[in-house]
Amino acid sequence: MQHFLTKYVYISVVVLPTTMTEDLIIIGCIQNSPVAQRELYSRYAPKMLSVCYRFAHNREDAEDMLQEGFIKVFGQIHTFQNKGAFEGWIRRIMVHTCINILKKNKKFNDSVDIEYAAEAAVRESVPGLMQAKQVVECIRLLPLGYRTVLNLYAIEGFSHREIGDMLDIEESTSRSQYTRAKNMLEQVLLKKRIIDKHEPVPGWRTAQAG
Amino acid sequence: MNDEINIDDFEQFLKTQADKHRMYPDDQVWRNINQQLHGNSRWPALTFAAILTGALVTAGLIFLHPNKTLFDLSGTSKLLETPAKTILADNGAIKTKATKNLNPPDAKTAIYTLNYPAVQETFPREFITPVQEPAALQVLLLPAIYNNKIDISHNVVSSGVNTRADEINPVNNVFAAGNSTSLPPLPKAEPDNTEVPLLAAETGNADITMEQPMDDDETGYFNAQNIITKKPQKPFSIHIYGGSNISYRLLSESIAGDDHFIYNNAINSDPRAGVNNVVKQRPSVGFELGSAISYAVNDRFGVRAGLQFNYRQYNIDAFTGAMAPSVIVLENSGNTDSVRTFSTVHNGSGSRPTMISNHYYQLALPVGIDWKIAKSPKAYLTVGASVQPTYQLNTNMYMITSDYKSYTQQPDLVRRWNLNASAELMANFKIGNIQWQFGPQLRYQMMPTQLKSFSIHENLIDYGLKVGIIKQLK
Repeated sequence: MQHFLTKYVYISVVVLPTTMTEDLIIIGCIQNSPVAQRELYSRYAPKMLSVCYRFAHNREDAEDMLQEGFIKVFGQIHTFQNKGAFEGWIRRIMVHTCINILKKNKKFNDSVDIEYAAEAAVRESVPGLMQAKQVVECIRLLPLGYRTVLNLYAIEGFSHREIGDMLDIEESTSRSQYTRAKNMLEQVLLKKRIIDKHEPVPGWRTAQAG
Repeated sequence: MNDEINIDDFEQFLKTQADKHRMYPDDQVWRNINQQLHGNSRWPALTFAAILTGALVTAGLIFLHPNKTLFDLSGTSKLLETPAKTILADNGAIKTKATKNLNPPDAKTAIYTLNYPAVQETFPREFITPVQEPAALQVLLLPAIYNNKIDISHNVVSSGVNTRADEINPVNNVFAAGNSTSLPPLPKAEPDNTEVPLLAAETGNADITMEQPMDDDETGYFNAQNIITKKPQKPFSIHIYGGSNISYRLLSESIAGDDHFIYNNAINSDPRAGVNNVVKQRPSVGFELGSAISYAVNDRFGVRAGLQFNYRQYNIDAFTGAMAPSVIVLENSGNTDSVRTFSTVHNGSGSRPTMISNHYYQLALPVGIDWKIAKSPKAYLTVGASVQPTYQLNTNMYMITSDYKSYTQQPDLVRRWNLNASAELMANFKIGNIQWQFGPQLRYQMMPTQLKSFSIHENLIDYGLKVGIIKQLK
């Protein structure tokens, strides 16, 4: 039945690409269909580039990470076993790709003085941006090591132990770097008036009320 | 507590804001990804060049020389099947006389009258009487022959000699006096020693002679004992050729059904995937060089045999990593055995992506046929096919393991003798004494690269352009 479905679905993927569901895309990509691959890329590239952008030095590096990440996605898509969300699976591959590239460039050993980093962040101006982009740009103002730990822990949801394994650092180092990163980011967000110290962040209000 | 809530809320705030953010990559990113997945799009140029070459040559032969005899390789004209008759008058009147020498010629004689219809159309019908028509055929025939400038070494009546059909003067023609009682004097013609270009193109060494000279006492038109012959075509030729090919790999499995998962559980438990869905390969360019001896059975059909060297290759996307075990499944007489092997080249995952190449060095003995399907004065089109017993010189190719996990080299499993089949469409044209040919060709490896016992079968398929020269052997 599934083999029949595969053939039927494959035809549907070729003839009606605009009606692809996620299952169709996965099947098409397993069969190396350029149409399905393009559809998958179009759906997830904007979000994944944002993920890469938070880890990279600049947009060009982020696009390089995105390119390499999607090549790995297409190469390993046959190993996806429908356990969990497909987007989460792609995201994990993308994060690992970003970390591998950063490790290859050996940037994690750089240490930056917190005060200098804070001053540097203050000098950067990000005028006229939507709040989401403002927050991302502020994250990118952090030193690479702080930024990476903050991205992995606060946004991607890895534990400090997992972060230690990925970055070849101690779990305690990951915790301390995250604390410093969070404090620094909070200062930057306050200085840029993206958040107000006297007014809770909308998300915070919800949590406190609960 | 509030601090913990705040921390959690801060993280949630960051996560929410980050998830809202979108960035749109440059188009070049997708082009790079597509190129990595599906190869360089420039390679189809060879495909289009081959198809376009064959189409242009075929169209050129058909449309630039629109002629009913384009595909008629018989070498004779229907007109010659009609017994020609001479007209000879004692009192100047025209009457017919049977001749036998213009009966349909045998295989050694051939008279090409490609221009005959034009000659006939320009000849005024008023000068032809019914009884004279057989002679008209004769008269008109000889001018056609003369228009082809066949070498004659004797005197003939001049009207048709070295003149175009539209220059025939009916007054000087023997048919002019349909109702007259006297023949006008017929001037003697100068012999024409021009070579026969048509037959020269056909045979390469045309030698057209008149076996029997005309008699001056008779009108040259009607001494139909002239037989035009040509020397027999040399049947043997030598071919030297080379070509550039794009090589693909086709994979199939002999394991069916649930047996599939016994060996594939580590890499792939997805029934939707087969071996072609878990490997990434890209075609690459190879070449062939060879020579052959051909024998022309007749004007249309020939056979050939020779020796050829093939170089074929394709690339595989893989990963290098730590040495890891994999399984090779072998089937013998219904029994299945598995062999464990170790490799550092993996499929699908690993520490570093890499590309491995499989190279094939082969010696082949092609035996084939050629069929001439279209002809023009200076070129012709042939289709050919051959079978090629092939000996594999090297055995160090990578093969994927039965569990799809790794690539390994197993020389003992590589088949030494194989069989290829090829088909080609060649355009042939002559420059000097050498004939050139070029056109697209397709070759398919009929038996798998590895022994039959291996569960995964690989068959190679090539297509490309072939160029060659043909020289007739004396």
